[in-house]
Amino acid sequence: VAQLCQFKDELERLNVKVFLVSFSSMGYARRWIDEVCSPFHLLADREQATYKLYGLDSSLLRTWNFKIIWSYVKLMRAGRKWRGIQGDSAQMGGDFIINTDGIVRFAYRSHDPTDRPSVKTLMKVLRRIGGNQ
Amino acid sequence: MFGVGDKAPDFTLKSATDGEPVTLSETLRAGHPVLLIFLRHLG
Repeated sequence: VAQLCQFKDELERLNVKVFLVSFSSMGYARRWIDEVCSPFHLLADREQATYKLYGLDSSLLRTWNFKIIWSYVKLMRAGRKWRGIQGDSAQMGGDFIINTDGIVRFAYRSHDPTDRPSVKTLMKVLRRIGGNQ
Repeated sequence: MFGVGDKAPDFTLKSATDGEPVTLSETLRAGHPVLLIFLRHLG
């Protein structure tokens, strides 16, 4: 999200709304967004109903293995603050792009916590649909 | 499970900014494509 925030001016030009869906406590999530990119819209899904609606699964095994723990260690060493576990640590994330006709143009369901599409990939799709509404 | 080319499931969630409900279909009708990012506990 921090990388995506660097494109916030272009996203506004493309008329794109960025919705960040979170199930963790709103105080925590709001503080996090304020630090990272306040123009994005944070939505609360405490019950994780929308996560399920979008087919995002949970896996403790894929969340807490050596590869993932090592990636967290690297983030901490790079200066990222550890905030503790907020809510359901096994819940996977995902990224979707939806055009104004309501059609899914990009769908990515994370296999593990480090598995996310690149910002370059997301922006490529958004530029394509932004010029082809 | 839906994928690219399918209709996106509609939803309404509360905004953390002002507490107002936000509905996907209304946002799309207003002419905004949507990038939907589901966060994890560490973002």
